[in-house]
Amino acid sequence: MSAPAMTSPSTTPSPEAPDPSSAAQRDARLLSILRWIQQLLMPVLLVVEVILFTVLSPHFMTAQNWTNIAINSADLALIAAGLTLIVIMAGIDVSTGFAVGLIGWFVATGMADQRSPILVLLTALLAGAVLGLFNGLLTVRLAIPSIVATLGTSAIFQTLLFALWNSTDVFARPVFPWLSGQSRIAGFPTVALLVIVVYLILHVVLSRTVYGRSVYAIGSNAEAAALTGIKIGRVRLTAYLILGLLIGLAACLYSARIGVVQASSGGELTMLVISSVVVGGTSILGGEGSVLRTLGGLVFIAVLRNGVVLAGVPSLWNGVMIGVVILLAVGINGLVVRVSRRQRRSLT
Amino acid sequence: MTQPVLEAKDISKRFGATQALDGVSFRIDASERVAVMGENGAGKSTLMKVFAGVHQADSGTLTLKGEPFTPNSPYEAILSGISTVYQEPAFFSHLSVLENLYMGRQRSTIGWLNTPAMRREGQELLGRLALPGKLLRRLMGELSLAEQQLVLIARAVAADAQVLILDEPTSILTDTESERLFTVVDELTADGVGVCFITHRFDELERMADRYVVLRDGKLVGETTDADRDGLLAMMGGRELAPNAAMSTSVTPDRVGADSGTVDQAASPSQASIGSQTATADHDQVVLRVRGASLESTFDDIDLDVPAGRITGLYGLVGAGRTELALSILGELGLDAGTVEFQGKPYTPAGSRAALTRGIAYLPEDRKTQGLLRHMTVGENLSVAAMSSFTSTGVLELGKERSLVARWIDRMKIKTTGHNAAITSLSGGNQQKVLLARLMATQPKLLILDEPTRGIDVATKAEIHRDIHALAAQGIAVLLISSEMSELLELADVVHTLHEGTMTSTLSGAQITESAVLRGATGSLADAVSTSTVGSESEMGAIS
Amino acid sequence: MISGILKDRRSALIVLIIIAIVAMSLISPYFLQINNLLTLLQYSAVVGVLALGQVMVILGGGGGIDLSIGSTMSLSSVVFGLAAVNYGLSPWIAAVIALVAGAGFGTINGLLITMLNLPPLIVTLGTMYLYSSLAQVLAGGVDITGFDREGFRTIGQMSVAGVPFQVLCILLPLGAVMAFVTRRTAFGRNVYAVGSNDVAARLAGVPVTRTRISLYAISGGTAALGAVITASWLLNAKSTAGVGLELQAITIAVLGGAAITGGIGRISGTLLALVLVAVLNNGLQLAGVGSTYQIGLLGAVLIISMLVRARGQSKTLVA
Repeated sequence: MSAPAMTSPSTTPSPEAPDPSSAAQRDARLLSILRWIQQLLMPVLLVVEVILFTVLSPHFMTAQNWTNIAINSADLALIAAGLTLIVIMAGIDVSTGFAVGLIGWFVATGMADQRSPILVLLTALLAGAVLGLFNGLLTVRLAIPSIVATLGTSAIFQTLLFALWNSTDVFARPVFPWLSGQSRIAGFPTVALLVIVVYLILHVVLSRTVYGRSVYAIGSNAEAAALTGIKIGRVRLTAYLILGLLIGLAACLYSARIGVVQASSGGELTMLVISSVVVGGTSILGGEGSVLRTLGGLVFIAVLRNGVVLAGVPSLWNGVMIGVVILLAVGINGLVVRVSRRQRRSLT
Repeated sequence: MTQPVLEAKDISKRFGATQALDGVSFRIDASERVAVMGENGAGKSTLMKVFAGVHQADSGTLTLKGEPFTPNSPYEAILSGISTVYQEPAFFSHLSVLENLYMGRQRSTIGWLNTPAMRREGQELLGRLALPGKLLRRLMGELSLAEQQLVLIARAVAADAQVLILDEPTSILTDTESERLFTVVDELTADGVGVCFITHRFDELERMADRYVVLRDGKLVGETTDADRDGLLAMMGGRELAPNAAMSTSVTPDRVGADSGTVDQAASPSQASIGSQTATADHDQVVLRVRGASLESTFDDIDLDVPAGRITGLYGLVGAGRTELALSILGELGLDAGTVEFQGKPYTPAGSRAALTRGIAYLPEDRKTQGLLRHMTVGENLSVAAMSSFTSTGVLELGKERSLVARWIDRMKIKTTGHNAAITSLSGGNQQKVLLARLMATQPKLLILDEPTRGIDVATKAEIHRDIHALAAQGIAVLLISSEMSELLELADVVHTLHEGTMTSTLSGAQITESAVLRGATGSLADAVSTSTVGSESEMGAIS
Repeated sequence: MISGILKDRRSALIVLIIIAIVAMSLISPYFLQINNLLTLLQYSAVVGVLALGQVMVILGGGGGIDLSIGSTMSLSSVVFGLAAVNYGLSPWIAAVIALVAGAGFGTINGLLITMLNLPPLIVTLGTMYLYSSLAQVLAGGVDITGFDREGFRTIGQMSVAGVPFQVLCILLPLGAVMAFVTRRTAFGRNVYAVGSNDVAARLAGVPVTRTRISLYAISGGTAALGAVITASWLLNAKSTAGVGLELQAITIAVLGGAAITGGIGRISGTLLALVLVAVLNNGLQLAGVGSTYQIGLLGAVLIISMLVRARGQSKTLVA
């Protein structure tokens, strides 16, 4: 390599040196392809799933069945919407299921005691707000990692429910007729419309308001967010409050749907809610995501649970499919991060 | 002369053992452009961060438009009209350019975003910096570094500031982009805004600013309206240059220190000079030989020899590619082109672990995030890289470990209560000694030290310098990456300067002077030694 | 020195354990009887083994957590049952097969997390579904029964000098081995180094990826061990054996002083946390309070222990 002294490297590039930009260009291309896959994964999976079940079962593609799917997943949908806010800010909540069960007990008991429906609904919302704020206080004000804090509160909620239940199942009925699966508006299940309204509102809040921007900013770079004057604590607490209110509402739907509140009611929801958010493509690392994506993830999981049964596949396989889809969704996410990190020449 | 917009009186700021600012008085007038200059660590960024509310001064006063001004947070400073673009900026990579531009001060009505208005204004704003309006919808994280920088400048401009502070804004911009920025700055100053630059670029000084202020060791040492390079360099370096010294690198064929071989800087470009040096120095066997190393948009066509028993210095400003070069030699970052030889044999960089087994040890730049195992003890931190010397089965022989650690604590004179002390209980300097001992315990052939004394008190710094000297005397090849001039002057046998990823000069022996090193590192070598650096100059053109 | 002792989570746990024992013996005269103390241990063997695996993963940092251990336990339990019942292998060989399978399931987690750089929380959430569902599918949705009672008596039902086999010969030795491995071996050092600062560890030559994968393999292995204990004890292999245990294991690990961010925590702390939980559970049982209360108590203790840490170490004893 002892080149003559006056040779300018820029005019006569050495023959063995490859075009230095080619690797970077390849990465850039790979990155755009991956992002494209990331965008299209959920819609494509949904379409494939729907086609598959339509072929496999004549009962699948019927208005009645879709109505069932919508009614049966309405409570899940409400919680998932609220959880999306938390996850965008890089938090998590594993206490949602038992929170629903706990509030569900109050709702069922209130209805059984012939209390005024308005009072019951307000109690549910208030209880949801209290539980949500309690989680928020632990993670935001007391700086306990959200996974640890909500693991703890989940256990506490479960036990409170158990104590209240006290070996007596409480049979539940809808708080209001319009909060039951039977109610229809112009042929549509009312609860499904309620879910759509909630998603639209949250979508608009996230994409069109200062509050929504702050949520994304905190998830993307909390330190930078503080520098621009965003009140991080207040924004995060508000998100826990929103999640809590939605849990309160979901508890009304849940108790009406199941019809009875027992010792471990609601527990099954926790992981399904998280799965919906994650499968939808909201990044657990924060900064990215939307409630519409969550809705996609939720529909995918709800349709899967329904279609598998109709298609005659033992429901045991449910988890295999949900698990594979979660891994697929986050796997592509991981590749995107990996490639873009390689582009940035970053050590970490 | 207009009234000052921002005036600082007697500002002092101390970080631990370091006096970062020492009684600095400074002012910016309305419609004025001030350039703040100085070596790395002179206190420029600290001063700007005091203005921006990131740091609070220990003593001294700030006045903004005649009113006392004590910003307790960056946000307060922004609200008061001081807008800053940092050298290592914080932004939201997941969010769009538009969202980044307006984060924290969105156009909104009772919380409801007025996106069309922001998009309209944003488009105009980007247009002023000659950025295409369609950029608004792109994600910030997907932009090039230069584009990100320009967006952040646009963001600062949009803040309706009275004072705009730009920390090395042009270091990653092309000439056209820089020119665009200067035009915008002209427009702003015409409206009465005071603009303050931190810069290392002499070639842009006159275009950039009306007044030049030089800081050194936390003190304001000079102020001039004359963009004379030698005068400014002299102020930055701290001693007047001998009449001929500024030209010595190019004109005078230097007598070279007896132990560095014969180098004729004037007759041969830097690459060849290393070759001749190593050819004649028989006792200085080259341990690490790098040829034509390139990494896209990071460094380009680097040749480097690190001989045994010598301290080879690498100087460059932030972003010059020094650390990246070291990481590529380790195999932590890639290498697009070039070859590396270690101890005369071809060597393919394959990560720190492989490098350590071969005898290449690296002291990382950032002690806290890349060096310390913060939850572990002094002993555990010290011995982590050399565990194979006290275990053969995987079970640690703690007795051997204790004596190894004790030996190094003693040898490096580490001030600690001993093996079991928490690493965080040590002073920064002693932590650094532990990290150095960590590497030495692996018995390396080549030691790459990246900023070994950054943020360390003077006494410990001197000790570490002695240690480095002693290590080289034992025959270890040392590659010393430093942005501290005095360190290189004191320690290095040869100094290479990097500028924007290109090696701009190679100095040895008596050639190593502050002004020569600064010239190389600021890329202003070109006119001084124009005959000998045709190649590297045209390369610089190609990069920038 | 004093403040060092106060800072250590283990001293707080010991104080709490003593308080709990005194309180429980006041509540119930039976508490301090030796038989009772032994059963107290027996019930906690399984969750203890799982917590030991979990704490390793948490120590390794990088957001390390294993939500799938409950499901891994279920799946390993089915593997164990199939090997022992359907293939008629000896209990010991079946146990080894189950352990290897469990470690394999853990390795899959580890590979996904390290190779693709994915958040552990989500990967193990995915495999949690995957493994538990596979367990159900493999077992056909029913328990695998028909264990030959004699062969499994040693593992599940024997006791030595009154101490149950699973405690004396599995939980305690496992705890001891893990304490040794974490404190006295190069691997253990690597675990703490990786958990403390993975960038620094990598630059110091620690094999970060390999270490983290091993931790998930260990976690899977301990889950399988839990499955073997449970199946041998109950003489059937349930495809739902591990449901809900992941949360308990995580809680005990964190209660034992493991920082969820990695690099801090001791095996002895985990064991002390296990003892505390076992004492509380047993005491509540003797007091006639249902087992679900124990979960709530666990949650409350977890949060309080975090509060103490968040508010600074000087008030450790307040907990």
